[in-house]
Amino acid sequence: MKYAAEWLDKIGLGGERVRMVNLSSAMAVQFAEAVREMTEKIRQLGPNPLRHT
Amino acid sequence: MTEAFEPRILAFCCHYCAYAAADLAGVMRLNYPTGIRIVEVPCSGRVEVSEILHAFEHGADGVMVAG
Amino acid sequence: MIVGEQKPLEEIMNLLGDARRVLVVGCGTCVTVCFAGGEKEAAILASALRMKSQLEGHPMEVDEVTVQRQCEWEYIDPLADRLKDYDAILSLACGIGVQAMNERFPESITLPGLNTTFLGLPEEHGVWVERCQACGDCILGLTFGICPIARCSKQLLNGPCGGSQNGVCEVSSDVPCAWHLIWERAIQFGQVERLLEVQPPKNWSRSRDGGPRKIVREDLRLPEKA
Repeated sequence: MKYAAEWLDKIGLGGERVRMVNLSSAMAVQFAEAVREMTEKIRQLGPNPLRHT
Repeated sequence: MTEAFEPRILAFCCHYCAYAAADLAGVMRLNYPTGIRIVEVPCSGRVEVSEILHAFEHGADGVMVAG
Repeated sequence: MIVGEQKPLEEIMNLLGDARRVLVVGCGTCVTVCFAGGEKEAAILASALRMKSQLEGHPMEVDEVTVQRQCEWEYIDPLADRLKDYDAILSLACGIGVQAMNERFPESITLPGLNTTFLGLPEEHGVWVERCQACGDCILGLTFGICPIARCSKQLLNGPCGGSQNGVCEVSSDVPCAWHLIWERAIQFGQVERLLEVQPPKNWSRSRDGGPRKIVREDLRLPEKA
C-alpha cells in the first residue's frame, strides 16, 4: 500500500487517494464508516485531475 | 462543473471479510455514500499496484483496499 | 543474480524527451526476481508514464511487453516487427539487455529504465547485497567461501586492515569486515594456518583491467555456413 501511495505521489495524483482498511465480515458499521471517511477525504482533495485533462 | 463533486471511489473488497461486511451493511440498511464501486477479490493480497493505478488512469478519484 | 533498481520517474521522463509513443520492455529473469524490471514493474511504470505525461499536458501512448530474457537474441527477436511503431523503447532490463536491444535493433533507440547495480543476492526479503565482482579469477577457494574482492571495501588479499573494528568495516557500520568473516570460517574449520600463506598481488588482467572480456568455446560454436 505504501508502494502504491509512493507511485501516486511520484505521478502527481497524491498518495492520500489510496487507503487500506482491515475489516472482519461482521464489521458492517465500520465498513460504512470507512466509506464515509474516504469519501469526505477525497471530496476535500477534489476530483482526479486526469478526468479533466 | 455544474453539479457538486461526488467522489468516485473504487473499493477492492476481500470475498471473506470486507465484501461480506459490505453485504451485511446492506442487510442492516446502513447508509453510506453512493460514489463507491465495489470489486470483489478472493483476497485483498490479490490486488496488484498496477490495478490500483489502472483505476486512477480510468478516472477513479480514490481507491480503497479492504480486507 | 544481477541486481538493479529503477531510475527515478523524473529521470526516465527526461530520457524519453519528446517521444510520444513508447514501448516499455520488461525482462523476466534477474530484474524480475529483484522487483525492478519484470512484468509487474513494467505494467506499473507504463501506467505511471501515461498518467504523468497526461498531467503534464503532453500525453504519451505507452505499451508494455515482457520477454523472458532480454540478453539473448532468441527472446528479443519476436519484438522486431513491433518496434517500428514506437518513437522510443524503454528497457527495464540490466545494462546487458539494453545493449542487446540496441545491437539487435539498430533502427530503434532503446533507453535504460534501470540502474544496474551489482551482482548479488537477497539477504532477506527486500534487502540485496553485493557478492561477486566478476573479477575473472575466483579466489573463494582460498578464503573459505567469502569474497574479499566484492566484500572487503579495500579488496585486500592478506587479512583485514586497521579499520576493522569488532568485525565491522570502518566504511559503514552496515558492512561486516570480510576478513573478520574469513578468519571466523578458518577457525571453524581449524585451518587458520592456510591464511598465513602470503598471497601475491592479484592478476587483474583477467578482470576489467585487461579490457572487455570474451569467452570463446570452439566445442560449442556452430560450423560456419558455406
